[in-house]
Formats: sequence, C-alpha cells, structure tokens
Amino acid sequence: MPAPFTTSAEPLTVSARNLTKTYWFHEKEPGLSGSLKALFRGRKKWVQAVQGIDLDLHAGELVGFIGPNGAGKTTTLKMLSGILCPNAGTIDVLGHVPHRREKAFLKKIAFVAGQRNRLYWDLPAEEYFQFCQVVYEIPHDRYQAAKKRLVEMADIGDILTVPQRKLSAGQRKRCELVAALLHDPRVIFLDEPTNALDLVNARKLREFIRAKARDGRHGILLTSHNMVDIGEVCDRLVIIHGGRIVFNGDLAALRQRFLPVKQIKILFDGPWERDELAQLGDLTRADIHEAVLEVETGATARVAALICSRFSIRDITIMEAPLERIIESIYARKGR
Amino acid sequence: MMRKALSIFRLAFMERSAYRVNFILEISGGILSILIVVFLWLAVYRSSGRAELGGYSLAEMITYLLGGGLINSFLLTTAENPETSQAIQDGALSNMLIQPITPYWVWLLRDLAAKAFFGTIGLAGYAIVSLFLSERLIFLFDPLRLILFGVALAAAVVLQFLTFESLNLLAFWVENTYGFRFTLRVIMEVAGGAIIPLSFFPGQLQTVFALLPFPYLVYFPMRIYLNKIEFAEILPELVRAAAWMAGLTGLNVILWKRGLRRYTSMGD
Amino acid sequence: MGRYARLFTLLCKLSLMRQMAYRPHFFLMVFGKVIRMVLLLLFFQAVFLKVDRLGQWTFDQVLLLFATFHLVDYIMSITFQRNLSYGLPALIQSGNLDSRIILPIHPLFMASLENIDMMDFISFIPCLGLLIYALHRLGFAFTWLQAVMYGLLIANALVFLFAVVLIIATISFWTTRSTGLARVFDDLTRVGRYPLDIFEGFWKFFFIYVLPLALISQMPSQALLGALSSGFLFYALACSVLLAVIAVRFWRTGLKNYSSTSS
Repeated sequence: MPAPFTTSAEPLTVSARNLTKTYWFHEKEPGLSGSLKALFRGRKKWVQAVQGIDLDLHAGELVGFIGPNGAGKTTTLKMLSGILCPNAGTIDVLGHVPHRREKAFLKKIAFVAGQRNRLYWDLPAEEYFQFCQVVYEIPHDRYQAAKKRLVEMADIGDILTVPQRKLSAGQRKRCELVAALLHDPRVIFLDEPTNALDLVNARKLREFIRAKARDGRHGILLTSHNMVDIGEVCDRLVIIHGGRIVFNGDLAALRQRFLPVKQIKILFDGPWERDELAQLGDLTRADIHEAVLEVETGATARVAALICSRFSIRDITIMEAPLERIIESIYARKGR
Repeated sequence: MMRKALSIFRLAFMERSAYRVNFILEISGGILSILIVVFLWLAVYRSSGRAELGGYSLAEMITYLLGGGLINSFLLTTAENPETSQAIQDGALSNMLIQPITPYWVWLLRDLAAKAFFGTIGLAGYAIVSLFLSERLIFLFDPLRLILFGVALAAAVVLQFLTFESLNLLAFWVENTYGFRFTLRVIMEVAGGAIIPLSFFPGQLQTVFALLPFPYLVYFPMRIYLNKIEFAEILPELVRAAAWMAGLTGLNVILWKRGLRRYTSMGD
Repeated sequence: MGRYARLFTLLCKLSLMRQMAYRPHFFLMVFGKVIRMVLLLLFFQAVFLKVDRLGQWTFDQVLLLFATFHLVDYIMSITFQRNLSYGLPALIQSGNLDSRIILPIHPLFMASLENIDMMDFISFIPCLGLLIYALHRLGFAFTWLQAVMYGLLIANALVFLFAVVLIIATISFWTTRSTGLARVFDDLTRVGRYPLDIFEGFWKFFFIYVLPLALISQMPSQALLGALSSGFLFYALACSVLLAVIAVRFWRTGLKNYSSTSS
C-alpha cells in the first residue's frame, strides 16, 4: 500500500485512516422457486465495498479519485461527507467526525452527486439559491458576493430565472455546482461531475472547477471516469480498485510506475516489414501505411533514430502513453 | 388472438402478485373502512330502536354493505389505475403502437387482470369477515337471481372501466388526469351506493344520481341480490345499463381515435 | 429557531411556486375534495333522516365532529402527511435523501415539510365554513376555556397523528414499500369521522386506549361541548407526547440504519 503522498505542505483538511465499509444484501435465485425461497430463507451476501483505505486531502489540492465501477469511489465519498457510516476506521474532516453530521461540519462541506439533481425541476436556480442562503445561514453581503462571483464563473447569469426543466443538462449541472458552493465550503466532494455532459459543457465545467481550486483555500476531491477530467484538472490521483487503493500520486509518478512507455506513431512511405519493426518494441497497431510502437521511456530516442534509418517513413510522432491504457492496465492487474 | 390476450392477462396478473403484500394491505384497509361503516349502521339501527330502516332490515343492510364493499374493492382500486395516462404522457405509448395489438385492448386486458387479482384477494378477505358475521348475513340461493346478479356485476365492471378509461384517454390533451379521476372516484364512492343504499337519499338527490351510470356499480347489483327489485324491473334497468355502455364505448372510440391522431402528429 | 420559521416560510413559497406550474390539475383536486366533503355530509343527512341520535350524539354534534375531523385531516394533509407517507419512501428509494441529510438542518424537518400543499388553502375555506356552521347550529354555546381546550386538543391531535405517520414512514428505511401500511392507516383514521358511540364495549375501549383514534376529533369536540373530563384531557396530552417521543427515537434509529446499511 503506497504511503500517503502529498504535493502540499498545507494543513490537512481531510484525513481518513483504515476506512472500511461492508454491506450485505439478500441473494435471490432466479425464477418463481427462488422468490418463494427468498421469502423464507434469505441468503445474506456480504460485500466489502471499501477495505481499509487511507486518504488525505490538503487545502488547495484537487485530487482525482478514480476506479472501475463498483470499486468503492462513491461509497468513500459518502463516508467522507457523512452520509454513510464506516464500519471501521477513522475520518477527520476539518476536525469533525463526518457521520455525526454536526451543523458546523455540514456548513463547511459540499457534496455534489453525479446523477441526482438537488434543484427543483419547476423552479429557477435563483429561488433555490435563496433557499441555500437561509439553510446555510449565509450573511447577506457574503451571499451576494459569492453568488455574483460564482454565477460569473459558471456563466449562468442569463439563465438564473429560467425553470430547471427548460435548461440543458450542462446548464443544470452548472447551477447545481453554484448552489453547492454558495456557502463557501472548504471541502468539496464532486461525484462524477462531467457525467452525461457533452464535450463543450464538460470543458466549461472543468474550467470552473479549476478556477475554484486555484484560489488555494479549498480541498476538492472528485471522482470521474473521464480521462480528460483527470489528466487536465487533478493535481494528484488516487486509484481505487476492489475496495483498495492501488495508487496515490501525481500523473508523472503514475506513468513512471505502471506504464513507463511512450508511443511512437509511424507513417510509412511504402511497404514495410512487420517483423522488422516488431523487434524494436511492442507493436500495438499495424496498418498498411501506419504503425504504433510502444517503447520504454528511456529508449525512445534510440529506437526513433533506428526507425528513421531502417525504414522509409513519411512522418514520425512520439506521444505519451494515453492515460486510458495506463489505467486499464492497472484495473486489469487486480488479482494481487 | 386469444392466446395473445391470455398472455397479456397472465403477465399483468403476475406483475400484480409481485407486490401482493402491499395490495393485501390496501385491501385490508378497504375492508376496515367497510367494517367501520357496518358498525356505524349497527349503531344507527340501535339508536332508532327499529328492526327496519328505509325498507332494509339489519341483516339486509349488513349484507348490502359487505357486498358493496367487495364490489368496490376491486372496482375502486382499478379506478386509480393510471397506466393508460402514464403511457400516453411519458411516451411509452409509442412503443406499444408498433406492437401487433392495439394498445386499447392491452389496457383493457391489464385492467381485467388487476380486477381479477384484487377480486381474488378481496373475496378471500370478505369471506373471512363473512365467517364472523354469518348469522347476520343473507345468502342468495335463487339461481335465476344469481345469474342476473352476475350479469349486473359484469355490467358494473364494464361500465366502470369505460368511465375511467375515457378520463384516462384525456391524457392525450391534458398534462395530468389525476384530478379528473380523483373527482370521479369521489363521486363514485357515494353515488355508486357503496356506503348507503341510494333510496335513503331525498328524492331530488336520487334523481341526480340516476342521471349517472354509477348506480349500476353497487346499488343495482346489490338490489338484485337482496330481492329489492322485481324481475319485471330488472330488464329495463339492464337495457339502460347497456345504453350507458354503448354510449361510453362510443365516447371511448372517439377519444381513442382523435387522441391517437393528435399523439402521432405531434411526435411526442 | 427563527431560522426554522424563516425556512418554513420559504418552503411554503417554493411549494406554491412549484404547484402553480400545474394550475388546472390543482383546481380539479380542490373541486374533488369539496365534492367529497359535500357528499359525505349528504350521507350523514340521509342517516339522520332515519334517526335523530347516533348513540349520544345529535345531528348538530355529529356535524361538529365531522367538521373537526376534516380540519385536523386538512392540516395534516397539507403539511406532513404526504411528505412522510409518500415522499420519504421515494427519497429513500431514489437516493435523493442524501442531499437532504447533509443540509445543516434537522433531517426530520425537511422530511416532514419540504412540500407544503399551499394551493389546498382554498379547500380550507369550506372546511372552516362547515365548522362555523356547525358551531352556529349549536348556538355558539361554549365558554372561552372550552374553546382553548378545543384548540389545544386539535394541536394535540396533530402531534399524535404526526407521531403515527412518522412511525409508519420510518418503516420504509427497512422495507421498500410501506405505502400499503400508510393506506391502511389512512382508512383507519377515517374512524374519526364518526362518533365513537357507534362502537360498543371492546372496540370503544380499543379506540380510546389501545389505538387512540378518539384523540383526533372526538376529544376536541367533546371538549368544546363541555363533555370532556380533565382526566381524559391529560390522558390525551400524555398519549401524544409519549408517542411523539417514541416516534422521533424510532426515526433516529431508521436514519442510523440508512447510514450504516446503504451503499
């Protein structure tokens, strides 16, 4: 288990140790006989959603929390925000124990769920923001300032009075985010924020999140499936798989540790020998005129030179291994 | 065709039974309500000191209420059935239209399945209640009357379906049909005769009620059962009921056709 | 505490705005409810054409009982009843309860009062009208003390009903569907429309001491008519308070269960 890795000397805002969450459900056999059996003798099946993980978050950090479906990301986020109670382990968020859900604690955090909207369907965002002001007891001038700033950042100024049901998914998402941040929470949990958003809206959202993180006072923990989110937005990456943390560090360390390769893309001028190229590295793609070769990071320059001398090529490009490949290889490795 | 119908019916029946605990509770609630009304009438008879009120003896009244309650339990619960409205409003109708059976028949069959299911549970429930009250109940043995009673019940089922389905079909034009169905259900509870025989109401009110098809739901069948209506009168009443059915069928057909035209032209 | 009052006002405003999006639907609902009340009144009238007393209750007194029941039922249904009986199970199922419990206010507040049926105020008018009419028929023959007791017992009825509805709603933390039970309860409380004299012996005892539905409309009405002993008054208050304490404890357990066993 990698030791907690920090990129910042700032105070710890979130600190979780040995976090464990298990839950059970009744297993049911298919068919009518299964239903009958389940009525009398339910078989309990235990699932360890999260197994003894450690997690840290500092003020000013933007940490990406990724893992395959069912790895325990959302469960962990819910434990950190106090929605769920861990079975074992300790959590400290800004000096509070989350699952006690003390008022002071709740006023310092925000949790934005991926697929669920808080804002009322028939009402404009403006109304819900007012609701937030009263609930979070935000003083008037601070509320006005925060609202102005956030609305501008999220670019929703002209849709504040439009009912949610008339807005697009991207606009709704941005309204949700503003609502969540009005009370200036110090720790922000985002569960799949760019889920179901198209390219343009996802980018806008990313910019918004980055702008928020830039002011250095907030700790942001987000989960995502989207590689662009992770690559472009996060300072640090935590990968969870099968309820355990398999990596905790920045992108460079990730590449270094799991897949220290580069990809060389070659455009050939004419016919070429497959076997000859395969000697030099890992041939991941081969077409009539094109090939992609994976090569260890250190050897890139040498191999590239060899290719240029041995083959008749039109163009050669050297790229970082795409993040998906790295992550996929991590997911595939599980079994250890 | 028959096989298709049967399979739709069977599927709907099984769907209902998946939530049987919930439905048993709902039926129990209905039985409870009727029992409370029974208690009420027991008190009324007690207070009056008479053996007969409005032409009904105590035994007849209790039988009337239980019978009415049973009929109501499987009519009423499906009066809340929003399937048709929902299918129209959320667009599920589109999927149904490309299937080789007209959606209207599907809804009818599913409603019958629901009625059959509730009827079974209701029957079991009321049978148990009847065991406790058996000395106070009247049982009908005359075969001819029983047949006519059955016919009247069938008419009640059809009439109720047609009435509420026409409201459901309004979903083609209106955003939410719940208000209509709720209002009609409220009227049906009293105007159907389930909590009090309609003859107890003052004359003018009875005339108003007679203008609606509701008396055929509970009041008419129960009167046949309790010998409160002569053979000679039954036939004309059945004819009137048939007229209502014809009228409502016509209404349903018009609403369905017009509504479908609107639905398919709007690309909803 | 002032915050909760402000919140309540805000929730009323938001609920009203949301309801106005469905205006025609709402008017029909009010119409339906009024029709229901009228028809039930006609039912009582028809009954009283045959008798002049139900147990000890005359028609005018039954009218008061009826109006009182509807008043309590009305307040209950525009505030907490739908939120708890139908809203809460839906929130639990959909997972949307999460966003409510991390708001810095008591989760029970939102669970009970998030949606206030504001438009239903219109059906309050016939309800109130009926009450005034009933009092008029009784010649407004009550003292200030009796009126105060009446008000107190109505508030008491609401606390009692809140507790019961909360207990039933809390069950949905463990099962997926508690709406059946809520319906049974609905039907059972309708007993409150009728004077308890319709029951004899066992059942009368039952509805006063075992499942005290008598608290809902019977006791307030009796208080106004000067027929309620102080013994019963204290009994009624004690019942509700006790049940409310149990209900809130149960709710907390349910919420804890939700945090422990969800994922």
